[in-house]
Amino acid sequence: MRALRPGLLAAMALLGLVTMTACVGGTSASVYAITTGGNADAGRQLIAQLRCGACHVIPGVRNANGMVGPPLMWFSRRTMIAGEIPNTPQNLERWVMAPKSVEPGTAMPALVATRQQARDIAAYLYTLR
Amino acid sequence: MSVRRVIPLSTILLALAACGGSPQSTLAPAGPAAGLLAHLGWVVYITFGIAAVVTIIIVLMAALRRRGSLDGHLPIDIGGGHQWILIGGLAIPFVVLTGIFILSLVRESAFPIKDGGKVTPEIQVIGHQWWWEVHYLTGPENEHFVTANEIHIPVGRPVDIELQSGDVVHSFWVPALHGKVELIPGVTNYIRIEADRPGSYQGQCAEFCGAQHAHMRLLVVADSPQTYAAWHQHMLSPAAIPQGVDAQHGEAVYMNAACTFCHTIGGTPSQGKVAPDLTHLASRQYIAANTYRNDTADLEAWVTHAQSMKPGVLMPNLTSFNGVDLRDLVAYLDQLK
Repeated sequence: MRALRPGLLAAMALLGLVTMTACVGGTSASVYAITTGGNADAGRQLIAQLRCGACHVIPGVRNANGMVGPPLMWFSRRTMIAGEIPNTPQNLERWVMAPKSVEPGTAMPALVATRQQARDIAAYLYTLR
Repeated sequence: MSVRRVIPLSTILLALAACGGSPQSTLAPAGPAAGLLAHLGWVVYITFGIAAVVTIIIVLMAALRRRGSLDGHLPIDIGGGHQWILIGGLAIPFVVLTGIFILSLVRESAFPIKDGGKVTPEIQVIGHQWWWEVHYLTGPENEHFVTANEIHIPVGRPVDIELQSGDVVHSFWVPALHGKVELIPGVTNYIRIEADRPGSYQGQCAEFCGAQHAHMRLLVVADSPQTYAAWHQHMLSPAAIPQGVDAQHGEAVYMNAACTFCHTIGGTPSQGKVAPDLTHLASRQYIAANTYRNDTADLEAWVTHAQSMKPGVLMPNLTSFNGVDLRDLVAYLDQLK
C-alpha cells in the first residue's frame, strides 16, 4: 500500500471529526436520562415506531412532519403540557401514557404502553432545546 | 490496491447490494412471470457487460500501442481493418441485438394476456387517482366483495386479474410477480400472476397519473391456500360490531359525518362508492394506497389532515371533529378487522 497523501489524511480526519460531532446529542441525552430515568435514543426510536410524527413536527425523527397537533421543537423550553399542566418530567410521563387523564377532550391517543417507554420518550423530547 | 481505488469500487458494490434488498426489485422474482423477466434482465446485463468489456479492451489496446517513429512507419493507406468493422461493427451487433430483440418480444408478449375474452378473472382491479379498487369475483354473485390497495392471492396457482381504469391511464406493477400492464380508460386488460412462495410484495402505479402518482402503491399478499381461504371467508362477513363505549361512540361519529358519502362499511348505512371500502380496514397493513402504515396515529392524522400527507388526494381535511370524536372515530376504525 502506498503512503497516504497528506491531503487525503486531512480529509479523513475531518470526516472523523464531523462523524463525532453527530454524537454530541449524546451528552444532552445523558443529562436528561437523570431527570426522566429514560433513554433518549430508545425514545427517539419509539417515537418513530408509534408514528407520533403523523400529528407532530418532531426534530430529529424521520417523517415527523404532522400538522394535526403542536410542533414539538424546543420542547424542553416549553412551560405547559397540553395547555393544562406544568412541563415537568413526571407530568410529561403522565401525559404521554394517559392523555385523557390530563385533558379529557384531547384527540391524542394513548399509544405508550409502559412507564419505561414514557420515560424514554420524555428523555428524547427534553433533548429538543 | 490504493485507498482511492477502493472507495469507488466499494461504493459501486454497496449500490448493487442495495438493489438486492429493494422491496421492488425486478431481479428478485417470486413467481414464474417475473422469473422470465428477471432472466431476460440477466441476459441483457451480461451480454452488454461482455460487449462493454471487450470494447474497452480493444480501445485500450489501440490507445496503448507503440506507434514507433515516422521513419519506420508503414504507409498509412495500407488497407485492412475492414474486417474489424464488418465483424465487430456489423455482424456481431446484428446477431446480438436481433437475438435480444426477439427474446424480449417473446417475454413481453406474456403481458397482458391475449384472448382476454376467454379469461375468467378472479379479481378485478380498477385504478383511481390515487388508489386501487379491488373486486373479488369468485363464486356466486353474493360472494363477491370489494376491498382496496391490498390484494391477497393463494401461492402456487395462477390468478387472473382484469384491469380497468376509473379515470386516467395507470399501470399495474408488482415487480416480484409480473411485468407492467396499463390500465386504460375504456379498455380492459388481463394479467396472470402467480406467487411461488408466501410473502408481501410491494407494487406501484407505473404510469404517471397525477400529483400523487408516486404514492399510488399497492400490496400483494401471497398466502398458503388455507390462510387465503380463511381470509377470503372473513372478507365475506359484514363489518365488526364495535365493542366498548369509545368505539360505539366512534361509530355514531362516523355515521353522522361526511365519511358515509364516499366510503362503504359493509352491513351499515354507509354505502358510498367513491372511495376505498372500509369494511375490513383494520385488516389491511397500510392506508392511503400503501403510503402510510395502518396505525392509530396515522389514521387520526389522515382523517383530519389528509391534504398534508398526500396533497391533492380526494380525501378532504375533516377539521370539524373535536378531540373525543376524532379519538373515538379512529377507535372504531381500528376495530374494523
